[in-house]
Order: sequence, then structure tokens, then C-alpha cells
Amino acid sequence: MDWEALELSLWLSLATAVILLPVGVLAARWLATSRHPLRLPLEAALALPLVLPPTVLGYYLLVAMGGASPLGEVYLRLTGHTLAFSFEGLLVASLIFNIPFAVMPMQRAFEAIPAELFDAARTCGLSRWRTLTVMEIPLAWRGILSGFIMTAAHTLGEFGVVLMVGGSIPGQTRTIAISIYDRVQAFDLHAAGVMSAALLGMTMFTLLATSWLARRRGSPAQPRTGA
Amino acid sequence: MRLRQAGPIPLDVSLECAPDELLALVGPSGSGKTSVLRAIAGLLAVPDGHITLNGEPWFDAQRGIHMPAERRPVGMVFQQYALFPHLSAADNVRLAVPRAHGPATAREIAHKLLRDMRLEGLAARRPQDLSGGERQRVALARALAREPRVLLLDEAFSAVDQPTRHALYDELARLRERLSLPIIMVTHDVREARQLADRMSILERGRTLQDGTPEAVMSRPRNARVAALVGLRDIHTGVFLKDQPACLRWGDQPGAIQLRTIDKGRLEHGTPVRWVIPGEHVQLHVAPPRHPAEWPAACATGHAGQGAGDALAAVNVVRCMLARLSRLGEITTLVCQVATEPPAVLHLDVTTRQAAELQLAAGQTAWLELDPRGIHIMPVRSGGQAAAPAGAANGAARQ
Repeated sequence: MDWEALELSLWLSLATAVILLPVGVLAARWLATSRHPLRLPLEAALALPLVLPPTVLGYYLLVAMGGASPLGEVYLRLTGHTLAFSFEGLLVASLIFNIPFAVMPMQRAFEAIPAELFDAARTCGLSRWRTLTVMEIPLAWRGILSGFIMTAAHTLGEFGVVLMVGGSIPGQTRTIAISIYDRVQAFDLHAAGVMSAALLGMTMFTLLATSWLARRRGSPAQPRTGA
Repeated sequence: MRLRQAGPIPLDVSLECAPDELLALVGPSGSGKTSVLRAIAGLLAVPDGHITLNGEPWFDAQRGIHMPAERRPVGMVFQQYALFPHLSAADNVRLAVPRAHGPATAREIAHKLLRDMRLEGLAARRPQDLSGGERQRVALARALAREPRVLLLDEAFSAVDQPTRHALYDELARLRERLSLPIIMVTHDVREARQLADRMSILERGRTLQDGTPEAVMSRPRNARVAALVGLRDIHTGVFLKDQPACLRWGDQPGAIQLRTIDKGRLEHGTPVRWVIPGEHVQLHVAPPRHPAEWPAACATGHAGQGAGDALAAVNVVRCMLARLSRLGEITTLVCQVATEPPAVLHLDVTTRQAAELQLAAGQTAWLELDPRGIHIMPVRSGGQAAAPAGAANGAARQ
């Protein structure tokens, strides 16, 4: 069992989910409510990581983060090391390829809020910010939680982009998914099996816990007829 | 207020609502009544017009004024309640209390409003645990928590059953005793408007067709379209005859029945018209009645039993055949076939008890006495103008 890789994966997963939580909420809310002409192209662009092969996305990110790129050059000058093949680079890549996993469930949850409730909030004198905090987030919390969990779970298992951008540097960029691959390459099937089972167990536990929590909190609104 | 827009829902409406007044906007689906309400609340941006409350402009397209919805002191009750499902009844109301009151006072105000609505034991319940009537009372309490200067009711009573609706009517009446503020109500139910409103405005395709007290609109509709929209079932055709005294030819054939009517001097002789008569001006007889003294004179042509069909013209008594009797609980609707040219039908509601006492039955002959004061004549409109004979004044709104 590669504990170092597991720890790195967990940190990467947590950091990605935590950073994408507020970003995802605001982006999802904007996408759910805006009528801006750029909304549709932006929505399509945000969904790209879902359909693009991870190696293609990883390649573009590698090029964008390399020392020859403007971003890579600035980063190199500021920190003394390149963004590619570092934990920070891995985190940036992880944030980008996880955007749809965070935003989509949140967006669907915001879209499910009846338009009449927005009207009611406005006629109650609630500002936009207050509407978001007292009405929208409490009503969309399942989607928000789902986005958070999906992001974390997906980060734990991501392989292609991580390999392209981070390689396999122990303690820096070698995640558990990369470590499993390395073990298989080295014919250490026992270690690969243990780590795969651990990853499977963690993912299952997270999804079951989310499902249980969602049921425990109950459904927000089921209209009842009668006087 | 005045609102104008070309689309998506065309609007060209001018309205006023006095303090203490309940104004009902009545019209079919798509007539723009809800759009008007939303524009007042600030939920709908209209390209042209103005909305002013007591001299304070909320919206003025020319001056570029558009007060956002959240700053307008409006209480709005929605058809489907629009309560926040994740909050208790008390929190739903508390949320609308202006923040200047502070959290503790807001809580007190919310509980007082729920008490006023007789919901004190249900403060902790969420909307899904309340009945339709209770939800709408919470919605009403929430609308009042905003300390509104205008109350807007958007088909607020249509989603509940009949007994609950009547209970909510009582609630509204009690509310009007306590509070003095203009109330604008949208409804497609004319009976509801008649029961609750001080004034009603009939809208169609975003235009006001008629504005007035419910009694005036119901008994004197401006035209046949208004008559149809307010639910008058029998809109008859006829020709106005400016004789001495004035008469109305029921139907457009020369042999049709002639009825006495009142000449208000607005229609020329021979004007084709539509006319209605509210049920309270029609009296049913099972035998020919005597002539009342107040209408002694006959029409210039077509006297009773003298070749004018079945009209006893002096008193507007018309012989008819009861084609059908429809009993609906306490009310029985009679379908009376009148042998004029062309034949006409007149619906008349009587109590079921009265129908039983008079032993009314289908196929029976009866006599209808039509009070000339209740006959409301409307010109036939064609291309926006009243169709009138040559030389007649254009645009006569009504007789």
C-alpha cells in the first residue's frame, strides 16, 4: 500500500473539492439564471472535460503550464520551479478537469427551484445575496453536496490528466491512481489489488454516506392537496 | 398607472386604484392581467408607461425611473402560494419583515401576523405540512409582513376548494376592516370579482374593455364581448327603433317581437344592436300576467296579439316554451325558447323550490315579463366603430 500516494490523492481531492465549491455554486447559479448570450457557449466550454480524452486535455494543460508558455514563465519567475510536474500544477489541472463534475449537479439543482419562489423572494424584499443564502443554497443543497462529492471522488480516481501534467514523482505528483498503474507495470498485482480495493471502498463509502445524508434530511417540498 | 408594450403579451392599460379600494382585474387567459400585476410589483419590465403610488414614482419609462422589486413596498400573494418549502410558516413570514426591525421584533411581528390569521398553532410547520387554505393564509401573512402600501393578489383563491375559498374571502374581508390599503386582485372568476371587488376592470388582449363597479359592468356591459366575458349567457340581436315610445325589435326579421325599451338618445332609428337583460329583470309567469300601470303605452308597431309574434308589447311579456329544466342543487336553470324571428333562447335561474311550487316541466308554456329598465342595448361593433345607419353618430358606446 502506497500511503504517500494515498495521502497525496486525499489532499488533492479535498483541495479541489473545497476550492471548486464556492466557484461552482456561483458559476452554477449564474448558468441557471442568466439569459446572457455567452451563457450557452460558456456552458458548452465548461462541459468539454466530460467528452475530451483526458490525454488531450492533459496535453493542452501541459503545454499551458510548461516553462515555454507565458503562464509557465511567469510561474517559474515567481516560484523558481515550473508549474508542470508539481503539486500546484496538478491542483490547477484537477480544478479544470473537475469543473463539469462540480458545476453540473449544482446547476441542475438551481434550475429546479420554481421561478415563482424567486418572484416571492423579490416581493419579500430580499436582495440577490440574501436570496442566494436564505433560499437558493438551502433549496439546492443536495445538488451542491452532490457536486462536492462527485468532484472529490472523481479527483481520487483521475489518471490520464494527472499522468500528463504531473508524471509520477513520489510525494509530489504520484497519486494513488498512478501508483496502482506503476505497481501493475512492475507486476506487483497484490499491491495494485489492495490499493484498488481501498479506492473502491472509499468511493463507495462516500457515495453511500451522501445518499444516506440526502434521505435523512428529507425532501424540501411535496405539495399536499386539500383544505 | 399606465403600461404599454407591444409584446410578448401586448399591453395598453391605464388603471387607478384608490386607498381602501379592491380593484379586480378580470379577463380570460392571456389577457395580460397577471402581467399588469407583475409590472406593479416590479417583476416585469415594461418598455413604456408609468406607475405611481401616492405621487411617488415607482416606474417612469420617460424619466428612466425603475424601482427594483425588492424596494417596492408591495405585498404579493401568488396562486400557488410560493412559500419557501424549507422554512417554517413563522420563518416564511419573518423573512418578509423589513430588516430595520431587527431579528427579535421580526419574530414577534411574524407571530402576531400568524395569530391574526388564526394560525398560531401552526407556526413551526413547514408548508408541505399545511393544507391549501392554511398555506394561503401564511402567504397572506407574509405579504402583510412586508408592511405593504399595495396588496396584490394573483388568482390567490383559485387553487383551493370551495369551502376554503369562502373562508379566505372572510379572511380578506376581516383584513380590509383592519387595514386601509389599495388591493388589486387578478381573477378569471367573475363571481369572485363581483363578490369581493369595489371596482372591476375587464381586460382582453392587454386592453381595458370596461371599468366600473361590478354591478354596473354586469348589468350594463359596454359591448357584446364584455357581456360574454362577464358570463352573460344570452346576448340577443335586435334593431333599435326610435319610435314614440322607443322599441327594440328582438331579432332582425320584420315579423320579430318588439319590446319596449328606454331611449337614451344615443342611437339612431334602425341601428342594429345586441342586447342583454340580467336575470333579476326577468319575471316568470305560468299564466299571462296583467299589464302594470307604469308601462301603459304600447310600441308603435307590433302590439300584443296583433301580429307581433307573442309579445304583449305594452309590458314586454313574451310567451315562451320551457325547452329544458336543469336542476343544479338549489338552482334550476330554465331554457326558454322564444318564438321570435329568428327563434331565440333565454336562460333563467329560479330556485329549485320555486320550480317545484310552480310545477314547471319541459314542454310547458310560460310567460316572461322583461322589465324595460333592465334591457341593456349595445351597438354592434364593426372595425372598432358602432355599426349604425347612415347619418347616425359614430362610436356610440351604448344605448
